[in-house]
Amino acid sequence: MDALVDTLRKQIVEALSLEESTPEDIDPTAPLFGAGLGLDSIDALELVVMVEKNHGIRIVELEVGRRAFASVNALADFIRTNQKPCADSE
Amino acid sequence: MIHIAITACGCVDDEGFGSARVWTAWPQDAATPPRLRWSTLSQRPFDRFGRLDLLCKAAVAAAEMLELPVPEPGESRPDTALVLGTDLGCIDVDLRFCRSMAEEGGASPKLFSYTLPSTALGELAIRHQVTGPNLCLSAGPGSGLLALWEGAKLLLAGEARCCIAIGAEAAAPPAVPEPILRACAFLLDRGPTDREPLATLSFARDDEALCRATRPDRPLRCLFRFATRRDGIHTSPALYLKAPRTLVCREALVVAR
Repeated sequence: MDALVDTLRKQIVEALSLEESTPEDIDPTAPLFGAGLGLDSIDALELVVMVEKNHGIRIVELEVGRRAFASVNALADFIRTNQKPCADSE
Repeated sequence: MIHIAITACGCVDDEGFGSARVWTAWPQDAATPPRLRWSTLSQRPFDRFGRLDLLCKAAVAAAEMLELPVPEPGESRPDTALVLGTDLGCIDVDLRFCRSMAEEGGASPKLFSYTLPSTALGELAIRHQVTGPNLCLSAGPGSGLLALWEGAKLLLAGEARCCIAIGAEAAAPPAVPEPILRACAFLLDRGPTDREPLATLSFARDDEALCRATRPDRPLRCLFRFATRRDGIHTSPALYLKAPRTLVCREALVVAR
């Protein structure tokens, strides 16, 4: 499994206090919102803060956020595409 | 006389959890206070529980002990009111949120949504699809008892047919010196109801209320924890209330052993 995807799953569980879930429970291909994890709008804000805090990437446009948070895999791809070389998420 | 029946009650505290029907003590090796996990409290699904703050968890857990029927999708309960009374409120989250504002990355949106004690009412309303009147009271010690009183008044005024009245205190250090967990939920019904009442609030014309417990079960005993400052516990099955202010309620309590 992709190391960044693994890291993101752990960060999501921690950031959103998903106490009844483990990182392994999160399907990286499943939607984060609506179906899948069933996250809500407050969770979306928390994920934006998490991405900025842990990966140094600011999400300022709604449409960008929608695409980035489509799934954990989508988020990993977004981070890889936008992360500055010096802001290492590990 | 007008009678408001308490048809169900539930309690979650540092000794255990349960209803008038069944009580489960926490394991002896449980933390103090115990960590609330939904899978321990209920067989019914509720994925959001782990993400709630302490106060919401306590209130939702106590309400779950009422064993209310699960609403059908799209079904709402406009004739049911929700009243929450809390002395400490969300002080726990308030402190954590203030600290998060100073952290790199900024304030936590997740914490912000719980910086009002009334958020617990929202969580309860969503879970039980209650759309009747709701009220959150933070009036110092005795707020839990005041919630019961205000719930009964809503029924007397015809604002609702039944009411879920909850008193809840939940906080952890450093917000408080010692961890606190206690929440008590009551289902009030103006009737008629086919449930045998656990207790009855009887209102005479001069607003005095006499509550007689038909069975002195543990959850009803927990009611008295909210009636005084936190160092007092009363075990009487009977209490005498004078309306309508919290201060008067405390002063007028008569404990008969």
